[in-house]
Amino acid sequence: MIDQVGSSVNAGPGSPRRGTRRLLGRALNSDLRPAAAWVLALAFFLTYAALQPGTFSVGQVGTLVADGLALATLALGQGIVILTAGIDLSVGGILSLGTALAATHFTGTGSALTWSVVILAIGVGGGAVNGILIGRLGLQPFIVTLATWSIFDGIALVVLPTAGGTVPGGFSAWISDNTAGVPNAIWALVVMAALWLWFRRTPVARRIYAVGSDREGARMAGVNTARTLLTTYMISGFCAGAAALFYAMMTASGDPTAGDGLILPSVAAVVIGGTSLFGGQGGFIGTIAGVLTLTILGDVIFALNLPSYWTVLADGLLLILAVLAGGALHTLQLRAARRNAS
Amino acid sequence: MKSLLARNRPVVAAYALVLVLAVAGEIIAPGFLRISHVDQLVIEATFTAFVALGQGFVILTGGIDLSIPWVLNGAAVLLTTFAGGSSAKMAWLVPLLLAGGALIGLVNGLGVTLLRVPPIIMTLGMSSVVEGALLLYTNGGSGGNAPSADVYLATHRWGPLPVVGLVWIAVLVAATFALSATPFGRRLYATGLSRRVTEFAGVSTGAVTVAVYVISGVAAALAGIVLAGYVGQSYLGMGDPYLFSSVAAVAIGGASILGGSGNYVGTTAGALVLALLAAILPILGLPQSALEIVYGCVILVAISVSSGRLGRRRESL
Repeated sequence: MIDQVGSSVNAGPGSPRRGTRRLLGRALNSDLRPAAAWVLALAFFLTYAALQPGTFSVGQVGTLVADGLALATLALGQGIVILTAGIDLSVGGILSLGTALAATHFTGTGSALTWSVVILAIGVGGGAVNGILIGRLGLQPFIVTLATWSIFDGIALVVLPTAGGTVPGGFSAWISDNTAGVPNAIWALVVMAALWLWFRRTPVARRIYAVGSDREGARMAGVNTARTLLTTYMISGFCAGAAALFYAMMTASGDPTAGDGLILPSVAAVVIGGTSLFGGQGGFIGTIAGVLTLTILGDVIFALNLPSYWTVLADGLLLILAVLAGGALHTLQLRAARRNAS
Repeated sequence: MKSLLARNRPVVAAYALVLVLAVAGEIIAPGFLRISHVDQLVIEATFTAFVALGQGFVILTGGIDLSIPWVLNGAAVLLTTFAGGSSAKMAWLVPLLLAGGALIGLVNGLGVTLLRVPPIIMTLGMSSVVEGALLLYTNGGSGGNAPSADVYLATHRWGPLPVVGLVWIAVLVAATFALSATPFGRRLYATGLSRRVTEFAGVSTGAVTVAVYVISGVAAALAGIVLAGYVGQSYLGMGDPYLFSSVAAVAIGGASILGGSGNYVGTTAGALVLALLAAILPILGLPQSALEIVYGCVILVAISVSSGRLGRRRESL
């Protein structure tokens, strides 16, 4: 319930007579933004399907999800950071470094496993540095993660000076394979969604929401804000490491600048998905809709034979529009809820 | 005099760092401080100094401008494409490009103030929009060669003095005057220290905020024009290093990243420090990419130190 608008604006106690009114009030109180995001994603999906010759198969949806999987993983972590009213620019650097390491150090099954763990550990470690500086020293998230983004980018360029290298075929094939007739990419997304649904009920998640909606209040209520922020950025770093693995699978090679272009989409997916930039409201389910919207947008632009550069421009516009639309929707809703309550 | 030094301790420290690095360079590689190489260093520091001028003003108000690299890149590409090697065309192209930078800054500023989009999101989105527009315009290819007047501006020397160094000095004087001796400067610092209190004092903090983003757009366009002359041409991605370096130069210069304190005299030292590091790293056998690691570390150290200072100042109140 914490991730709903209604926590602060109550429609007032209702008697049985006012049941309908209460129901209406509850609908108005629950955050409409994730639902709006799913409507948008569905509209994009139908447009895309209409542009495609023939019918849609599970396999095609699998390809779509595989295309967006690295972004979804990145956005899962970014979304949790944004719940605390922060931002994590360093996910771009961690992803770049991860793909650079994968392309240079994965030689067989053994080394791929070992280095996958190393990449995830680097993500968690990088997140810990961010988390300590932001949580304990109270520094601004954007400047701290800008600095660590620069550091990880630099290391990635030292590891792999230009895009290239290869990852073993067996590793990269996993993402396009099927398990029980369903593409692995879809399984991965379902597992992430399930993990999120479990996570959002845990005490850690409650503290993250609390810190995001009112830091001082959370502190007064006994929440260790420094430790909560540390956990948040470590989760984000871990997600960035995992996203690097998915990215390496998809491209079957490495790119020391891959992450730079994914920072904006990771934030955009979260914002389109209805998570508030001011913290405390939203979640991964809406973010998935944001990821699908952005991924399908790229495919629609491709299907329309437009230059792929349009995606860069459109992503930027969508981010700003989503912030504005989300803010406007939220204001309208609050106003309606207030009117309903009085 | 003593209190002036004490008040500007971070700036003094930044200049001390310039000296230390310069001497270290001379020790590692004799001839490092010969006039021609110093000129070279100054020229290379200029680009960072220009972008850091805008970034510094934005940071003074507590914001950040992530759109600098692509505004710079856009100015460079459009200059080389439209001039087509003709120096005469620069007479109208340069003012037009600076105005274009101002326009992008204006949109950023209005988005931040009127529409209340957080600065990082507004400028991140704007960066992507400008990048996309530029990619579409050039179709992913590179721009043409820089006109000779631009090359002259960026590389020529009058005696021992690089031409562009003189432009830098003019910018330094103008920025310092604007910050320390005009109502705009006072409003800028006040906005950075406390937006609310400044509003209560009857100052339109919105106008101040829009102004700093406009300055940042113009400064980035100027950097792009000069950089195209230095490189001799334009290419996509040429602005990429200047996001990190602009923030790093401001941070080394002793500005508080939370806004409200700092000046361009410090940022000037910051740009020189970065140019010296960029020259020293290859001598030590480190790749250019190590510079990005240095930028990041420098920013982290600078903000940790300044936050410690802020903490002490709060305690002493």
